[in-house]
Amino acid sequence: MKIGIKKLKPVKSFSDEDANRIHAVSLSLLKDVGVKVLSTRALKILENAGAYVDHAQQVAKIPSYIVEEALRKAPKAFTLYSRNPEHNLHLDGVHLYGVTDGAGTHVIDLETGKRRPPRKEDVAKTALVVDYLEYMNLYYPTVTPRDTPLHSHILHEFEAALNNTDKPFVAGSMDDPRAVPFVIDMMAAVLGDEEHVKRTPIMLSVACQSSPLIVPYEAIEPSLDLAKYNVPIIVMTMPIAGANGPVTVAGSVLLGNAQVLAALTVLEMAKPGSPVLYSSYPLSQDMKRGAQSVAFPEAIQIIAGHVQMAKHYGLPAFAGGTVSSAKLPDVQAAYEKSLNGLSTAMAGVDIGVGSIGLLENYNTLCYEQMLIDYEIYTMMLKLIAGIEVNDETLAVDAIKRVGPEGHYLTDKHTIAHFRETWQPLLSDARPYDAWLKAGGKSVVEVAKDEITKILKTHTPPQLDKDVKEQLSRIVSKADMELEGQKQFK
Amino acid sequence: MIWMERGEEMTTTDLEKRISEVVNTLDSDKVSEVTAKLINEGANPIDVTNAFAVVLREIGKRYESGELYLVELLAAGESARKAITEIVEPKLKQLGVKRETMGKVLLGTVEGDIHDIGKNIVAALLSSAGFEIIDLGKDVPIEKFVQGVRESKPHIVGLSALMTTSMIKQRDIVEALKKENLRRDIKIVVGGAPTSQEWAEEIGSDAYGADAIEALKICKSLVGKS
Repeated sequence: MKIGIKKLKPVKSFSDEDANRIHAVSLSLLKDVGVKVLSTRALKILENAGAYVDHAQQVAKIPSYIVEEALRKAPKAFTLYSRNPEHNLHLDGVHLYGVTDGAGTHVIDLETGKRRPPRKEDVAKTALVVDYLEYMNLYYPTVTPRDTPLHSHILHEFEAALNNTDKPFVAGSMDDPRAVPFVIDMMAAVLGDEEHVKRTPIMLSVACQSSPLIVPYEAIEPSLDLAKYNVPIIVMTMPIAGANGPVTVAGSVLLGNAQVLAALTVLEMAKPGSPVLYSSYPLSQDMKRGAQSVAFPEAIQIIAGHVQMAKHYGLPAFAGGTVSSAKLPDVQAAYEKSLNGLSTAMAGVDIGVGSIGLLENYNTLCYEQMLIDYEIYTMMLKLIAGIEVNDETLAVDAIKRVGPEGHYLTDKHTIAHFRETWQPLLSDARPYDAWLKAGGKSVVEVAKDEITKILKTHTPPQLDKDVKEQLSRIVSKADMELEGQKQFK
Repeated sequence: MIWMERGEEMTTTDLEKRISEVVNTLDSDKVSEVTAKLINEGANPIDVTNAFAVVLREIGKRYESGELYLVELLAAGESARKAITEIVEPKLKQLGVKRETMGKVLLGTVEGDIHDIGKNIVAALLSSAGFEIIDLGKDVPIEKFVQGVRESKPHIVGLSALMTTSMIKQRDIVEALKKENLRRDIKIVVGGAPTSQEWAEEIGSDAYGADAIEALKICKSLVGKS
């Protein structure tokens, strides 16, 4: 099976005229209502570009030509780097790359089955699992550790990831610009020097916008610093339809789109040509009981709408999917993850749909669920690959050879192609009695055995000893120096 | 020990190595070609047969460990069976030697059912494991099973059915064999989607094969060679 090649035409949720309209209204909202920008630096960037800025209110009204110019400057295809060039990923619109999601606040312990706070070893273990899984291409820390200082959590996460996989790293919650120099130092330790960091940054960073119409300090300040080193920025919108976003799907697509355009404009005006990804992680408000779900159909539809808008702009799309608000690795988790994953994949997303292992929206890591979701994910990769039709795949010669009756099991066409078929990691197709004889295990039990085996046996690529020590020194330094309240400008 | 034409010495290990190499290509034509070459070079047909058995056992182990696909197991077995029956057995006959098999299995898909892929997989697996197979085909009338048992005297009779509506014929066949006084001499194994351990017991069958791999294990144990 080749890595997720999208052969299916993306499924569109609305017409191209509708997309044009959403774009046009987004522009007029940014011009007339504007956005609240909680960063003096970002406000100045917009002001210098020609926006009308009310510094007292921290609101910028952005003329449409600036946003259009920013969209033209944003690169439409670029490469994501790994310290192992074999794991470089080219965002060309043709491939779908798998990524984990975060940042979980709890873990269902693999051994005790009890819910507990996350530890740094959970970051290390989930990175190790991603390293093992062929079609997981990037690692996003699935949890924020609670056994290391919170002010330097991102550096502990990066260290744990670098020690357990050489796949690209996605900083999910880079919320303090003071952490940026440490992250750059860590990349330089791995790659050799800062020049190499600028040429092949081995990370991406999320800039999560706040709804409605707020560009937060925590999202934009670190991103502006990281962009200087060519770190691709994932501009994320997370409207909760019916709460901090309009209750209608189209309304939340519009609001999120305007927010992505606002942050993208800041980044492109600061450094033209900065690689930016369009990202959507919406939720739905349960209008009756008040909770929020990542997997109610409206939330799934908003992702599809945002992916369509990203494609409309020609920008790479990074989105959730394979997510659930279930609390356990149960049937709700399976149906929600399958439906929203497939919908997002079919909309044509470039990175995402992974979210492996997360439950309770993005809050709880469940190790068994990691492999169950990976199973869903690889099935989806097969589905979006479409059906290849040519002389070899039509198998005319084989059909002639076998004729009526007979079978294809040992035909040479089967021998030549059986390895291309999807292979289950967990799914059981055996008849009842054979399954029972083999232990009669549920898929969760099978997943537990399998992930226990992976964690025990997989050896990730190792960094040199001195690089490891250097990383550890940088993290310790950050533990001390970043302590105390971060400075809001 | 085998003496080659040119006076070279060929150990059974060499023989196994050459057969293993070619069987692992899964190319039936090549397997037949190499087998013919070995026989022509003067290899003892009994040694060749034994070498195939060793190689197939090794492939069976690799399948059970999860390394190989069922297709590989079947293709290896199929190519070995073809080479042995077409090339090695005629030689054995010339020498007046009879090939020892694991046992004789008569099988078929019961009357009213033309779904025979399951039965075919079982036949291929049993055959590659060294059983002699008498395959009655599909939609096989009860009388043909009775006649087959009377004439071929198999150790095991395998009855396959895919549909609930055809499954009941398995009971009729067991009853018919009883009536003809043939039941005591044979072991009966049933299989197919609607069947189960419970059904096998209910109709007085000796065993139930949940899938092809189970069927092979059961047949081996029924002939005391598990």
